[in-house]
Amino acid sequence: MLKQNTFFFKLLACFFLLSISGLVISQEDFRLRESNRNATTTTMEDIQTEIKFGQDVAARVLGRIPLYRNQKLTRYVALVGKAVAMYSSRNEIEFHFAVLDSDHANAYSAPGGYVFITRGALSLMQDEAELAAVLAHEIAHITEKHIVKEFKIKGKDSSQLSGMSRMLGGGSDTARVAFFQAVDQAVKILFETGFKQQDELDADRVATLLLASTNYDPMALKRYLKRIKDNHNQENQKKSTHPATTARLTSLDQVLNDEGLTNVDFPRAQNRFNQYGKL
Amino acid sequence: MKKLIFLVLGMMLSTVQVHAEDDVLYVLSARAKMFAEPSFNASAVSSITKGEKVISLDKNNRWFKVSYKGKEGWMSRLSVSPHPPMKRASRLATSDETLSNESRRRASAVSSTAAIRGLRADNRSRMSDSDAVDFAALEQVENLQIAEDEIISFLDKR
Repeated sequence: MLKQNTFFFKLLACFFLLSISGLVISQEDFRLRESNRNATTTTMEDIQTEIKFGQDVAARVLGRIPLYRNQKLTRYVALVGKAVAMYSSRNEIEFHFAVLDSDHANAYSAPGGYVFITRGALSLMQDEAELAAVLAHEIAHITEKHIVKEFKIKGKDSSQLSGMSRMLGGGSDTARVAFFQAVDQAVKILFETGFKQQDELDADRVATLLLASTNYDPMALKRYLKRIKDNHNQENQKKSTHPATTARLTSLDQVLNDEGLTNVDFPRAQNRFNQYGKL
Repeated sequence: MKKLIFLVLGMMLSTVQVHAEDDVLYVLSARAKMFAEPSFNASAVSSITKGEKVISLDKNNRWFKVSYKGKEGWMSRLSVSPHPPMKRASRLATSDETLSNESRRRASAVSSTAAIRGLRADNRSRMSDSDAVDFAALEQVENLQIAEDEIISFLDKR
């Protein structure tokens, strides 16, 4: 009897230890699981609501800055963008890319996969990897759902914007107002206030990893930002919707170091950029 | 006593089962590389497509060590997830009919917003000036379709 009891307690102790180890692993994985929490709860209705929201934001961007109508250049930019997006974590949406007719160097993204880059930004670039880097940064705002999370854009939920999908099918004025107020706020982020600094730094980090995944020079974003910083005059500084470039460069250095990407020889595709993308 | 032992064994096995399910990861991106070492600078062992399952063997902060079709390697946490990827969302129409509906919805929404904010007609007019939209240009942007084969060929030609 005593022997049997000892065996039982040993067995119980083993089970207890196994459970504890499971708990420890769970805590280690907490961040990862939390980051994937949205993936488990995201429905196709949420995605379609995000796309609808993005279409409205994108149409507002195009209402402010017209398209730069150059078929050869637009197709080239789209090819580079779609190549980078192919390695992103969000293949449930289709990414769209276009060039905007503005001298001011900037790029914009709207939820649902809409990415815009200005003629001014292109004119400051020296190779295809830099173009890929800027597009990757905007793609990252979409894959990390920065605006989607900010405004809790979902097909159905209990927030202020609840029932967006029902509203899209023709709902109450109150719901419409909530939708368009959120669109207004998203446009304000793009043109006036900018993303939260942490969102910008996250987008830089993901963009660098996307560049490396796509086999583009992962130093390209740093090179481009440094050139922007060097070229920045007071007027551009005022217009900028991105956080202090110095902070971004410091953060990028950290990412490049952590990932062992400081001294790598990945393609820059300068010749092709000179042929198709140089303005 | 025997029943109790079997119960405990059953609980232990169920714990092991949960961990086994946790080991499956799905490729999220259309293409993802499996590297020989946890570094983007390492040689690529395999190129794996969206939805494929890999088995997680180990991990660090940024990489999973995985096995796939008898090969072992490392994949960035960016490209895999414990949850299967969603199918591609169908394109939402921005046809003429939708556009006119959009205009009606927007006009209604702007009026309602203005009403809620207590704006007068002249203010509403000013608000709509800053509210310019161009759905026709958006449709043009959406109409630019490029086949995946062309994108892969474009990348290979660098």
